[in-house]
Amino acid sequence: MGRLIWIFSFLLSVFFLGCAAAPDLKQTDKRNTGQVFFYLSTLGKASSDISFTLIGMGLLNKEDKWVDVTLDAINIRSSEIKDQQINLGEFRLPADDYKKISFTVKEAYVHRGDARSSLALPNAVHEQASQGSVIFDVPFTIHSYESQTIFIDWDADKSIKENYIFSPGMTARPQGLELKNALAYVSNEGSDCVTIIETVNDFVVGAIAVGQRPQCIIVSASGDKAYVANAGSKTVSVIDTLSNRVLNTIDNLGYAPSDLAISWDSRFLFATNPKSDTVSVIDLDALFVIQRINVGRNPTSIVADNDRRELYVANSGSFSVSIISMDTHRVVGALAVSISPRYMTLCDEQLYVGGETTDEIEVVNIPDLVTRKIRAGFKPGWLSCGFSGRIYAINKDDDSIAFFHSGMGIVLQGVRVGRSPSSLAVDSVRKKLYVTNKDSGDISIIDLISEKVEKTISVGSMPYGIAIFTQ
Amino acid sequence: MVRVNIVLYQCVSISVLLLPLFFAPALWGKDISGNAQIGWRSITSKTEGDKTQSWFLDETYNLGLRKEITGNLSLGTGVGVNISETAESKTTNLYPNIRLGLTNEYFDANGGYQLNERGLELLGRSSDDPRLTDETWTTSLHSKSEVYPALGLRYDEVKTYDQLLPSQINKLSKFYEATTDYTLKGLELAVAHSKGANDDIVQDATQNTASNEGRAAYSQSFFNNRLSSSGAYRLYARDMESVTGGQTVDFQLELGRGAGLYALDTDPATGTLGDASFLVNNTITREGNINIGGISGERYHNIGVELVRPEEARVIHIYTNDAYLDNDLDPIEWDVYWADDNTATTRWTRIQNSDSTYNTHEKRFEISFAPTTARYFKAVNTRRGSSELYVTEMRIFSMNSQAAYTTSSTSEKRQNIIFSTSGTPTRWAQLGYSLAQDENEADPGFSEKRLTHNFNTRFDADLPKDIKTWVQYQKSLAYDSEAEDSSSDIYSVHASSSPLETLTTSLSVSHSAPKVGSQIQSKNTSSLLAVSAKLHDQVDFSTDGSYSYTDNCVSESETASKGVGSSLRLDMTRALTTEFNYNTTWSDQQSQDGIEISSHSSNFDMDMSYRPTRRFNLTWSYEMTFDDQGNDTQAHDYTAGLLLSEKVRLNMSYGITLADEPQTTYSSEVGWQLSRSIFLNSRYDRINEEEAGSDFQTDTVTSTLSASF
Repeated sequence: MGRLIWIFSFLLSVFFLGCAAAPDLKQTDKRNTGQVFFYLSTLGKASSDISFTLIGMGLLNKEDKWVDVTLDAINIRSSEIKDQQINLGEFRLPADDYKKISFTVKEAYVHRGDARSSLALPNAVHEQASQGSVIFDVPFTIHSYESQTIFIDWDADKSIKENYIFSPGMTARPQGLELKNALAYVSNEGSDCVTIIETVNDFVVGAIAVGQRPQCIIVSASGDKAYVANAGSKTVSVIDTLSNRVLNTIDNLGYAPSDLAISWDSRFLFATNPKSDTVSVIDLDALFVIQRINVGRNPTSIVADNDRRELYVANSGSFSVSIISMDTHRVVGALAVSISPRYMTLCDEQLYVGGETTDEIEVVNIPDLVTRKIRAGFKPGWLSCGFSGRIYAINKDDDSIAFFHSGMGIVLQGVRVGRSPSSLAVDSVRKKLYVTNKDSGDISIIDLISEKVEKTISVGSMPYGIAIFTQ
Repeated sequence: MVRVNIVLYQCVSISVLLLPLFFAPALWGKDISGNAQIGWRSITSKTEGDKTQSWFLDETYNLGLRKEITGNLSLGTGVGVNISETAESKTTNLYPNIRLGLTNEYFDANGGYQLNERGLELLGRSSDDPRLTDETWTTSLHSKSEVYPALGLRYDEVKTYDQLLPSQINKLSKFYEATTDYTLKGLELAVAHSKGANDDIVQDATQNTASNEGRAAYSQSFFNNRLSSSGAYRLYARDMESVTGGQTVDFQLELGRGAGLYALDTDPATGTLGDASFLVNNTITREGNINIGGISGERYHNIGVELVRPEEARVIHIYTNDAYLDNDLDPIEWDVYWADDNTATTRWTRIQNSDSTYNTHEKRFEISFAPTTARYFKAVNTRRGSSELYVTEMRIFSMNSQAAYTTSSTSEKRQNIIFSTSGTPTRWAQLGYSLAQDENEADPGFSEKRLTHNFNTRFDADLPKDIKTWVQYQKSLAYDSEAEDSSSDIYSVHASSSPLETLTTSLSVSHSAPKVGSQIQSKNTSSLLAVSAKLHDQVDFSTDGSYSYTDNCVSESETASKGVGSSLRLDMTRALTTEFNYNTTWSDQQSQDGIEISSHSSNFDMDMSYRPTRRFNLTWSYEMTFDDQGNDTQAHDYTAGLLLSEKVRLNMSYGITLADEPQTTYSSEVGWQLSRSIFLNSRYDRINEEEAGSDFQTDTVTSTLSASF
């Protein structure tokens, strides 16, 4: 008891001393700003082929003061962005209410075949602006510590006035409520946020600020919640996907979480903590860590086997897979594997285990825990179950996705994606594979019928994990 | 009483600490966060002439502060309350926590405390659970140097105790771990030492564990990645010691349950049990209809469980919705049976001399029996009770006992060696070899050694007409000190071609022959033809055709199977997409005695998705499965999503399944953004199903109000 009082007294002293201390300037800056993404797209199919160079942006706040947004020159052409969104950038801007956005355009052209004619630029719209500025109404609010996404729709057919003046017809709206039955969530490790993608048309529809260095993300079976492992802030963010807001941030007992799995009854969340050699057990009703389980060294990947109510944890430092009972939260077995296991997926009672240093995949037959090795021919990264007996695996050797046939034990097809692919998620309804490309800051979407990259979406910096909810 | 005061004192201390949070928003702004979530669910089940209703209320409130006191020092603290209530039970949780973090360019450290109080009276609501307290201390330190060895230290302490006199639960566990990792020119070295102690103060028993682990690993590439090699050696040693005080200690270990099973059957020695998932869902409120007492109570309820894998069991716990106080006067008696499977031909074996007692505090029957190893167990009540009593949950345990004043110890030592190398001496040839050795020694007197070698070679060639092809041979050899040596040979041929940018084809053939000793177990040949094509801008098509043949040399049977799977997607307009999938398989098996068994099954599904605007989405899916046994199923599912405004969303779905036991489902869900911070979601679900000639209807209403700032 004496020790408790001593520790509380100490913490209390530190707490009040800290509060009395001068505020940290960096923190103050962060407190008064919010993260904003701007996306531009065309409205439907434009018949006009117009291009322009965007060199600056400004936001008008409620006190009628313009806030400049500095951006690198971006060339935009209506014929090239059909069914695409252009990410104009990620910015940290003062938290405030805003009324209008202005664009500063440097050059504009109308294209007819190979020929192009230059268009006159509009006059300055306010005293701080130069020639080439266009302005449009969009009321929105930037909240400190939160993320906001502004979507600008450009109608190229209504962008030429008097046959020679470029006057882009643009409307804008901030992110809002979305239909919930087809959404993907991407954690951006470099931007400390989660990007929301609507998976019918594959458009970004919003962003949510979470903790530092978000890694794995997982969606509950009902689709009502998404959980994000924040390795930097050693927390787990709980996103209410009904409203797309962070509902709670769970303290992970000081451990940096990496991978996540949900119990069969959706009552518990399990988080691997690679640096602490543990798995945290989080009560999903109360939203706090109720237990930590000691496993092998460097637990990286965790897979839930809902049929057996067991979890498999890849201990990359111990060449083993720990088996944990979801009911008792105890290690009930350990399996020695002959690779340093980092990535796993469970398909049809076969656990596929890959390591980064060998070109082999270890296959564990779950009913009898007998293992066998198959040669992949490449060093596999993230693994995911696929259709028609295929396993999708990241091939880190050449930034591609290997379509590995589990029955035949051979790679049928390889599809090149962006730089440094980090994780995968399968949309089983629309038969698409989403790949996060960490170094190119985008998502490659592979059509699993034609086995080709169908689309690339720019998201935040260093996208890491992805989770899809389909109803 | 003293302990109650201590806990109250702790709670008051933490509350005093957290009290400033309520007044601090003006000062700290978004450093403070909070949320509340209130969920309500009501379930009404109707069957012919019978109606049951249950409800569930869950409230969660959290308030937290995260503050960077200086650039290096951060504080996180919070308090949470969770109250769950049903018509039959109430549970409460109070969980304050505090954590200090310190980070700089040399190390990252943190320490914190979390208290979890179950069974307290909170917000005017009492709890049916007994008081139970968890105190958790966690501290860790990790160095950040990339030049010097990385050092990690961790210390955790968990104390769990109840408030009963005499105490029934009082446990203290401590865990300490020190690790160091160092990478030098591609060579990784890692050492870890850990020590753990689990004290059961009530039973006066202690378990001490100490483990040491060392690992050396390397991964190198040479000659422009044309030769690569990796290897590792790991040594792991663990010592465990159990010490008992003045009483015999039972170590109970709960076994993993795969499924709950149930049937009402007066002949327990035969028959199949049906699925009863509510028996293994960790919920001890009444969900099923297994009444073992009163006028409407029955005998011969076969209440079973399927384990994850066969294990030795000694105790079964059967939980009931109410405490059965008449077990001494009017006991409910149980027989225990086991089986290896659960089919129509299963014979259940009764375990003689099982013994049953009733624990009124935990509201459960505790049935002990002779140690038996199996995957399926069931308990059957041969006598019913005096009052209505419903079974809610079933758990199963193995058990070890250790006599008073004894010390038992075990040790384990494990060594792993891994080596692999692969090379591409020419553009068209690849060679690879890997070795894995696992040596395991444990006291008393257990020793096992496994060694595997894998060798592979592959030759690639580019043929005319843009055809790429390769052939591969893999050989594996396995030596096991506890089993016969085994080996396998796998031959593979693969050819792929993309004659057009929109067309990809591949053909693969594989043959394998696994051996145990000198005996070939089977000869397996399989082939796969895969085609994927973009037939038009808006038309994608893929198909797989497969054939496999297995000659099982041990059972002298032959199996041939064929399968075709095709997908066609039509992007009819920008907003309308239709997809068709068709899969069919045939299998023919001929056994040693000439009996031939053939089967054929097919599956067809169509999915249509229409999303004309951001505000509206409609999908329709149709699925049909059929086989030559006459098991036909058809299912339609319709879903619609509509944004009624920027604040209100509506989702609806309707599904109908036409099978032996037809089912219709309907659901509607409304989400309403009441303000920036508050969201209300309401959902209604109806399920109508027909089972064993009876109609069942279940209506569920769920509402969730969530708020966060």
